[in-house]
Amino acid sequence: MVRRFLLILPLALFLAACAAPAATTEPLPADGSQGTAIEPPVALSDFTMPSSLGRDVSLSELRGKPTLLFFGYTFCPDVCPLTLSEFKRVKEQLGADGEQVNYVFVSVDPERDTPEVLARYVGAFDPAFVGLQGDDATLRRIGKEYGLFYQKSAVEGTSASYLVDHTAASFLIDKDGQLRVVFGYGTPVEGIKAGVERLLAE
Amino acid sequence: MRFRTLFALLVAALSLSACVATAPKITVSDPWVRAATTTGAAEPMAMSTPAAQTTGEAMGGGEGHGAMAGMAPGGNSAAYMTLANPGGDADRLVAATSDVAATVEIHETMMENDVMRMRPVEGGLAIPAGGQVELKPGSYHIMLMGLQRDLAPGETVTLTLTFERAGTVEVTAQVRQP
Repeated sequence: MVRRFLLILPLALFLAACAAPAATTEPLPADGSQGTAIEPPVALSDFTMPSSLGRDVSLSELRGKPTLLFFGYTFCPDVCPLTLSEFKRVKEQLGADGEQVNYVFVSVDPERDTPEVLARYVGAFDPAFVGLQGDDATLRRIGKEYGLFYQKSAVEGTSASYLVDHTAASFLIDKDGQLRVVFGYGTPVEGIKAGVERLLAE
Repeated sequence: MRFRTLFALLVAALSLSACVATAPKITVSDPWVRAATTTGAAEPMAMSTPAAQTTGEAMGGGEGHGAMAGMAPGGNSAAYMTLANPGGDADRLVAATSDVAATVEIHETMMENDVMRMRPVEGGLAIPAGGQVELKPGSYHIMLMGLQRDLAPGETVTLTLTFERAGTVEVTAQVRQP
């Protein structure tokens, strides 16, 4: 034990002396204005879903670039389209770097959101955005890693067949497929952009 | 009954002759509609249950899916505005219609622990006497369901709002991309 400590001590000193000034990742602001860091990062399970591109897309395919991901459904009145509008603004504000990011909308309502519907929907925000048709089995399998909650419910007083309650956070995944930051709903665009820029700089 | 009708007419006549401003009135400010495209989304018949799936309609066997030439309408948007009630009596937004949507309903979005829930506003949206209610993203909104056409920024959408006391109010809303 003492020996191990002696081994670690010089390493720690070395890190403190040399590495600290060059540290690339300062802690995120405690107020959540730039999201909540996932420490340690979560290596996300791979999944494959039908997509707005007219073919199946896997999460592993998106590696090599950071990914902004949101779970929602096209029937959603404002939270989902507003989040996609924010993604669009993030992309615009990043300029050329905006192309170096994947923007993904995962539907939790596969009945309404077919690949064709998703193509129309996400394409209206940006032609580069990708919509995925989540299915229950896959969403349940991967959901825990994101803290995803979604629930379909028949609601009285509406002509809609059902509504879907769902997590409204956005997720930032690094180029290696690890979950790094969760942005609560309402995180300012600047905060999301700052988070993406950190990962682009890695 | 006859007396009541007569009384109502009398009150109406008096208020009209006395001053138009005393009639129940709702003022609408900054109405806007979120830009959206039709998605072709077909509304499912109901919650998918094994029973529903055995019927032809639920499987999209007859009319519906792809039966129409070109892109079927569908997809949603929402209208937002501030409703002010300068009068001395509370009022209530009970219904809305628009020719751009198959169905228009008054809904509320709620956020709890970062989970979004949307529910219809039961019994209409109350607008307190001398007060105002803001319809805004993440809160109350007029839900436009089953869009009949794309709503592009710069266009306008006509909505007809029905209030319990103030009657119908026509609103012209700008389409905006938030």
